[in-house]
Amino acid sequence: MSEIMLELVRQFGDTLPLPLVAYNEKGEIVYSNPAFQEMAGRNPEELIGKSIVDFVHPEDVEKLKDAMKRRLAGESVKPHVLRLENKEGVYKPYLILGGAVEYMGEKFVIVSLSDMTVFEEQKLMLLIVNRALRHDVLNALTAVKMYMEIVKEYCEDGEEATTILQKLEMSTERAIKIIKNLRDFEEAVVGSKLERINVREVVEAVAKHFDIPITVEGDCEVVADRGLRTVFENLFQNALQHGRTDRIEIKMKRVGDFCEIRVADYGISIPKEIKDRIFDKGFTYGEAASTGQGLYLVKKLVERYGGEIWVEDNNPKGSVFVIRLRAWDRKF
Amino acid sequence: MVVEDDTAVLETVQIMLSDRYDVIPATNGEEAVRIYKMFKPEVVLMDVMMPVMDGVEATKEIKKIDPKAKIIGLTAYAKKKGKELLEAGAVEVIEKPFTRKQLIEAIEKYLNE
Repeated sequence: MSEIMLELVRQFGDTLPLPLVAYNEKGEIVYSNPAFQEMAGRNPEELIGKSIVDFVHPEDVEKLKDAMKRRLAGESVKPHVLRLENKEGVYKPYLILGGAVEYMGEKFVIVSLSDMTVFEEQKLMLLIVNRALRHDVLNALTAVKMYMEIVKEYCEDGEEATTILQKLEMSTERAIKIIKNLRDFEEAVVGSKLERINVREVVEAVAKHFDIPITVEGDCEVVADRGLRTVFENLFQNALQHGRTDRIEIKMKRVGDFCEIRVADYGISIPKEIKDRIFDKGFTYGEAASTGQGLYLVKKLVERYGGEIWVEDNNPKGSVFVIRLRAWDRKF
Repeated sequence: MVVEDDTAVLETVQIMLSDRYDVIPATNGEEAVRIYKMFKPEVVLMDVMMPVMDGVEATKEIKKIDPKAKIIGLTAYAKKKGKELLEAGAVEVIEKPFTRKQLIEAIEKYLNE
């Protein structure tokens, strides 16, 4: 960027409280203001020449390239949201506003970034609450209402009435579980400050509430919060309810700057055709299908901790959920 | 036929109707279409939000097989989803939570048509 141009952008950008970044046609950063440096956790020298693509979530790269191409072609681009990696290594949504400038035959894109985390979190929370109340809770209560009607109208036989009452209890518990999940969702999206969590202690505390053998190998301290308990509760419940496993084995070890936790069960394996969708919002499968929130919640929590989760087949049968969380004493 | 992915709702509807009618259960839209082809049930009670194939899509598919099919929608989203179901070919929509009386009245209306 020419020095005169750069000076103009610098004078404007250095005083702006919002992150501002300018990059050339190749996507190389030519200027970043202090707010952008603070967001990225880098000094100006580290940022110069670095590709803007490196900061963008892999799934949003095409969106970025398309906007860049259109801006450089002189088209106006509507404000849009991209996920960018912050200094903690976590992707957060930013509203991107900007345009292209041309000086002495060189073209540059200048964009400002507004943190949309709170807005996106609230939007997500509203969607989840609405869906859970309108669909899941209402279905659970519809069943409760009808079981009660059946008890009143049909059950002269004591044994049958007892069975219906047990089902009433199950449906009520399901409604309670949905409400508890909603509370955990709130933690997942607008949760507390991340802190040092000993994974083994969390797993052992959760395991006490399950009636099958759950063994733990290894130890790890990670960046998380008390929502990590919900992650294991849902994984164990999932292995029991869907996999009908008779035992669960947990192994954890340090892998570079991460702690890898493998939660293995020996139940029914997850069919290949649904593996890509099990973490989707509202996805349910099979006879034991529940609210479709459990694994989605697990993924949201793990992502909030800057980690990742995926599923593999266990040998000879069952599934292994692999979680990678940032180790507390990581180097970055 | 009762099409409902929520096993508790499906079971209670079955219990409520089985002393009057032969009830065939289906847990998603795709299964409902398959069963419809085989048994041509006289009335279909169809939930909307289901995995694999939702109730709106299943209603359209069943209407293609049998334009005279009598499909009664069951939904918590009566305004939005109910409208979609009616547009797809449902004869009526009942809002959740419903009572046994509501179900029987609707079924009787279309059985006797």
